[in-house]
Amino acid sequence: MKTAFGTSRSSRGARGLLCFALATSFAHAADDPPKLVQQFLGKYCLECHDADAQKGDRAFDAFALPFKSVADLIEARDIIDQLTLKEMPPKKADQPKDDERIAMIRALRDGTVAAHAKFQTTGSRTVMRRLSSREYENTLAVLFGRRVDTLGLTADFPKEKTTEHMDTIGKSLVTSGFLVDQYFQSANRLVETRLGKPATPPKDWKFNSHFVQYEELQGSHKSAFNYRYLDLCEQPNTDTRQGGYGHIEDFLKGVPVSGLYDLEVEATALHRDTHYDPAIFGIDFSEPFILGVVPGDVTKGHIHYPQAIEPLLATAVVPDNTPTWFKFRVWLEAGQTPRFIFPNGPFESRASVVTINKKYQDEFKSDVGSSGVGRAHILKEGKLPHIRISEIKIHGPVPEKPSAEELAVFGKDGFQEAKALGQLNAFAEKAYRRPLTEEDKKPIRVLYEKRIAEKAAPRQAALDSLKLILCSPSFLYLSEITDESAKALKPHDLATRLSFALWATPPDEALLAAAKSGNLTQDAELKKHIERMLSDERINGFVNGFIDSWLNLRDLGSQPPPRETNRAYYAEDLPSSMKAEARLFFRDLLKNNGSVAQFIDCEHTFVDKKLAKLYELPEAKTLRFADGFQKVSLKGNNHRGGLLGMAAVLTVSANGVETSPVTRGVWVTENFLGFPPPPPPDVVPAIDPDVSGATTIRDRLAKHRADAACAECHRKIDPLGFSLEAYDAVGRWRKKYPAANKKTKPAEIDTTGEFPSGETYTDFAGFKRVIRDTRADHFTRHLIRQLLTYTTGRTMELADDLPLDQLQEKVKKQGLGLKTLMVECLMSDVFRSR
Amino acid sequence: MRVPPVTNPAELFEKLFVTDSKDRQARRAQENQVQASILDSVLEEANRLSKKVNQEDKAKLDEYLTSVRDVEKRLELRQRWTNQPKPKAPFDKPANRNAVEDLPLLYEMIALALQSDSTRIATLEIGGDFMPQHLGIKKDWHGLSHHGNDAEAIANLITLERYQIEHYGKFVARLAKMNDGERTLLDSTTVLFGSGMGDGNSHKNSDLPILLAGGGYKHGEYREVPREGINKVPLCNLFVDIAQKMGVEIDSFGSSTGRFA
Repeated sequence: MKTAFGTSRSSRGARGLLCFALATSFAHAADDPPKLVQQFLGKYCLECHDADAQKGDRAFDAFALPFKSVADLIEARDIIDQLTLKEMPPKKADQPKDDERIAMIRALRDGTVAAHAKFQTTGSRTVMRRLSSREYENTLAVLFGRRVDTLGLTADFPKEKTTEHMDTIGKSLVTSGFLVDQYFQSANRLVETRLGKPATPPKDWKFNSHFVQYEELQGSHKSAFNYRYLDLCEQPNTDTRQGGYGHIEDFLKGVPVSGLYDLEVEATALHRDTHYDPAIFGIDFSEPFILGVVPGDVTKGHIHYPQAIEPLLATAVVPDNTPTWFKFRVWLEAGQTPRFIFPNGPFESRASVVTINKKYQDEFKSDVGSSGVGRAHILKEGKLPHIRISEIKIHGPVPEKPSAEELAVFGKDGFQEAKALGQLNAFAEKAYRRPLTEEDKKPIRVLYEKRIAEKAAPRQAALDSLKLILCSPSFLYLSEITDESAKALKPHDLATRLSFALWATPPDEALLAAAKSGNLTQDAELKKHIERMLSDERINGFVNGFIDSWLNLRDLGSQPPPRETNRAYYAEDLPSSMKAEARLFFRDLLKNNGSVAQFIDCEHTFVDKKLAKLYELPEAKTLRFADGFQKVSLKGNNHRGGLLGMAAVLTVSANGVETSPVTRGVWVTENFLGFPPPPPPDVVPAIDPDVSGATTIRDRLAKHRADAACAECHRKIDPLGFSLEAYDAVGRWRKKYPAANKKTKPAEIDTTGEFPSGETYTDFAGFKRVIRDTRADHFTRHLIRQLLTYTTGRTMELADDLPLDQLQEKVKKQGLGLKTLMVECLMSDVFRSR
Repeated sequence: MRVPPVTNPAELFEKLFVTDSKDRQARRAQENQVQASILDSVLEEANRLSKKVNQEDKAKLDEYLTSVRDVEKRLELRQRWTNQPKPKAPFDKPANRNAVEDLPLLYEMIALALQSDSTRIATLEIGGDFMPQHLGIKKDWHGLSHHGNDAEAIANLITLERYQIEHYGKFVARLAKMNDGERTLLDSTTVLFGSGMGDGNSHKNSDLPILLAGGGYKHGEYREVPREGINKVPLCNLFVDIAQKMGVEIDSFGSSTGRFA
């Protein structure tokens, strides 16, 4: 089966036009659709798409009404898409008149509807799906009543397979022996560290000396102040790693048991007003220094390097020059030791020492010797900006009676031997998200008793039974058990589907109660819960997961741009801000039921100070880091507005180093308009990037398109990317390509383009106008499809075409509000069916 | 499915040479016992569920059942591995440095692991943490790979690639000096080196650079095979040969059209 030019099914625009009278020349054929189709193909298509030529791998010789197979339906859908977008026949060929085009589209659509009934019994069902790694972690955090990201339970899980970037599709969420083994390891670790820990009285530690640091810093720290201070001189994620993580040398083994620990830290921000050239440090000195705490584990990796388990536990703004005490209460797992970071610290410490030696050597009074100014000299008398920690106190574990986990798992009285089985069953009911049957209870009882017989203590036997529950298919899979003949989900299955769709967590008590009473499957009750859940904070579970999937933002950051030309990208962790913008924008539209047309173009967006700088907005001057994100107006701004002007999209659609109208065009057609292009043919002349300045990517593409086999797809793809060349690989606006060297002149960027359907544009704003005026329906259509794909856990199929049509119609009538769209999707039979 | 890697020499050293303490061994045995009981139980449960679920879900549940059976086998192996004394370490536990400087050490430990039969398969990925700065080049690898035909960038890439090839060569030479019964370890080990991209600049995935050593193949030549048309030989054909040589009963892999030889 080929990959289609489009998988989007309908043509809203064309349908709207169907009321026009048909021209006389086709009137007789219109009464005979099979003949009409045959004539149309013969006149406009077969020249290129017959068995001999097979351009674009297509041959329509045998294609005829009535449709006989699913392959026919897919073919029909492609033809409809091509005719609707006016991408076929190609411009240089004879063009059908509008009425011919419309009659053909109608004949194919009617043929498709007629054939649907025949093929509808196949598919359109969600394959029993397991929790994705993301949902699995969220679920454990809910079941155990506390964050679990400090344990890194899924760090060793295989990366999830996705379908169209969606990580919720039952079919692609495969299970392997490796994963099942990991499920046990994970359950074992979670249960033992959180519920199996020995009772440990709180203890106090105090550290104000022997702050041995990263290997390369030791000599200078010893000679400057004999390890009296813990100095943080750079941000944690640099290439050269010169003390991005400050650890406590005398506390390397970490805390004895998992628990809450009170951390007191005395810290000072030093030399934020340094007279050294700010370019050396690459950071914004108008911002106060920030201190962060992350866990480290000496058995899991180098204590000075980034580690796999590194959630940010606490942060504080550190005042300049005055030593100040900070108090944090943080959760640490057994064996973890707190590490201190300076997230907005200088870009690279090693290079700064070298440059200071070069530029400011004369300022140093002490005899620096032949090797010049070293770190020790700078620590003693230089003005190196850094955070200095002078004392640390740790107290804990802070007693909790009962612990959050004990409460969440066993209830308010904690584990009770006499009620063990009842407590375990109650937990299993929460874990399985439905009432238990006798068959569910039996294996729990059997294992508990077996462990007792093996001389395990009752509590230990109960803990081992918890592990069983967490490895059970009833926990790991959304089972959705219905009768073979029934299509509608039963109340508990609907509650679970809804909850994972909107919150990426198991259903809460209110939802379970509605399932238990059976009311949830009634429209009014379902709608009430959908609205409740949409306005709950937990909706971020959906927003983040869906945006990552729909726009492929999960891949953001996987193609790193060169450090030397993209300091801010690393120094300010731009990828996080980029993602946040897209998420906040979506969240805001959802909250205010704003029109989804605003995804195409919009006069506002959300930026923090970092993005305001990247976008060259006036807010770059007024915003502070501490302000976080603000809604800003983009009135009169031709460079931004809508998803396509967002740095997240522009970065993920480039390769980090250079941009290409092809990769950006593919991104737009695939993720934004919903027409995945076919993969390139096997033998394809490569487009060889060249920085000599002799040719631009545009020149090279023109050459590429001269090859007929390439032109076939590129004439559709490239025009979607030309205007986006005005952005570099991280989404900065530009007028020229970077010059190869000082001698060559930077090439101008040509942002003009012409769609295969004839519309032209000169720049990004014009490009967006074409999309808005001619392709907005395709955008909405694709959004609805992706939303249902993500929330049902299956890809949309042919049989879903009609319901999707109806949904789009309904949403359009109500003004295209994002909230309306979501409610309609979730109320639809497509969502409520297994 | 990609199994998460061992990411540094220190961790690899622990896995290869450090025997668990008695205490830890006992705890492992206990854990394995609990896990075995749990596997029995969930296997039964999945079988029971399988009778209730719809047609389309059966295949998914079978996937789970197969996985559980697979873990039962793993568990046996793990129990054996826990109890088996590890080979004596020829050097102290190394400190991790960086992917560039650690490369020779990783090769050495792979050679030792093969020699001591601690494993029969090893994969070494030289990935994004291979930082050119450790070879004195102040550029990042990804950026260099999109060299844009810039002469300096290409020269830098040659430095990086030469370093990698040299250590591959040393590894092969090392295996040739180790005995494996009557033969050398190289004779009984197939060593494949290569990249999934023929040219990083144009991102093309044809004309891949591939080196094959050891394994008792007929070596010493550059094999050019038809690259187009009906008789073209995809790289996957070579993988079929390698798999068959190792006793894996397959006759196709990926895009293979037959065997290579």
